[in-house]
Amino acid sequence: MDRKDDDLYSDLKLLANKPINNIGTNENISILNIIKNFKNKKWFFDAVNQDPSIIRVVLDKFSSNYIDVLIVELSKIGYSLWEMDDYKQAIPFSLDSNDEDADENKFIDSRIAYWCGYLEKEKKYEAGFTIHQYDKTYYPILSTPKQLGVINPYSPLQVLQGDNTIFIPAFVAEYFTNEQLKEDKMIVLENISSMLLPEATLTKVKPFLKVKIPKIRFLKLKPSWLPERIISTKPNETVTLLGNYIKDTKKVITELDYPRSINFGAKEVEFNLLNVPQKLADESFDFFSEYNYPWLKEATNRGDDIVILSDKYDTSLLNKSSGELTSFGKEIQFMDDLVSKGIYKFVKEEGKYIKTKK
Amino acid sequence: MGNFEKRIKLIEERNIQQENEIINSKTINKERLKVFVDWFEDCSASTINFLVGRLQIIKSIIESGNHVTIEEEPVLILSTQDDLKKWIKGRFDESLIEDVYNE
Repeated sequence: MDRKDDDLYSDLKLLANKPINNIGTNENISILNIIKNFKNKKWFFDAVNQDPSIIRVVLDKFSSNYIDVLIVELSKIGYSLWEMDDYKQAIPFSLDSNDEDADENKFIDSRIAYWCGYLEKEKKYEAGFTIHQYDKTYYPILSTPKQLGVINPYSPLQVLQGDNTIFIPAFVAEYFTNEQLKEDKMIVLENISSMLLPEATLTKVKPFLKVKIPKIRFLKLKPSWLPERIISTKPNETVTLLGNYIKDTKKVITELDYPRSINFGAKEVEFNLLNVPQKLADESFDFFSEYNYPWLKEATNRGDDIVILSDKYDTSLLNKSSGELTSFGKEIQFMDDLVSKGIYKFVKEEGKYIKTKK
Repeated sequence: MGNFEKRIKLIEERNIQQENEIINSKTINKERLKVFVDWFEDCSASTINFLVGRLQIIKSIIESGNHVTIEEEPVLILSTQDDLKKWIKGRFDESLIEDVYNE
């Protein structure tokens, strides 16, 4: 360990714990000089990796006039020590709120927000992204976070900047995550990009991972027995709907322009309704056993959420005049049987059955 | 052809046969009427589809200038589209008229 670097690090600690003058430049320049003057960059790199709290305080207090220079100096230290494997494993990060997926009519608008947050206890960083999805009135429908990894403070994250990829340490990504003014962030990032790129001759790194936003369909509806609500499909899961045709299902089928089909399989973008074509209207068999039962069994085996469109407590919807159960009645009986077995539970406020363990 | 496809083919053939019986006889007999009512009371998307399909056949028969006998008690003769609409409204539900006439 270089003793002089140790002294510099103590100076950095002292300065970090004082107010850093945002109008004058003394403290900012002093800090920049300290960072530039570390002789053993590896020693500083390891010290930050061990405990990034000092550098987090510095970034938080630093003047916006100098922040890009500070970030460049800190990133340069990373560039001098990162190895090819670090670049290859670099987690993607973006400041661009992705707005490309939205869509036609009944699909919803999507935005991706990348984030990098500090884990106090572990002294590490968690990086990932959240897909925020809204309906056409920007009413939030669903936020789906996805963690991409837990990394060291000085681990690089790759940022696509224009046509180029630059790399920033995790603690810098945290700074960008916490910064609220998007425009400022983009200007800072552009400055950093122009200062870093001449040194970044990295051709073998993997291409920037493009996140595929799952399409989600939503439905604003007023079930005959519940207040108005919004239901939506889920990424990688199927949402199945049950109900009485005249009371509720007809509206949904019309709204969704739902096709007649005997496809009982998973539907990741569409809702799942049973709507068998007319050409299968055989008058002499038990259509519940032929269609509804295998369809619902498949849905519950998959673990679908089962949304109940009609009042499951209204006996007039559950029974025919003969006293025999309707298809809806049999479906409710089937679901309640799964509840009694502990496989599903019924959430009355939401009007849906949810698998207890997925 | 797998078992499922064979089964579907068989159901389709039986459906065509049942539709042809209606077209040829121009009658909805008691048994068939009972099935219609059962489909209606079941009130799932599929069974209402089946019912609407059959009602559309009745509509076509009337369109071609013929009448259809419904073995209600007393027996009912549907000669015009209005007769059919009235029957749908009284026997089933008014909302189905839209389904039958908006193909």
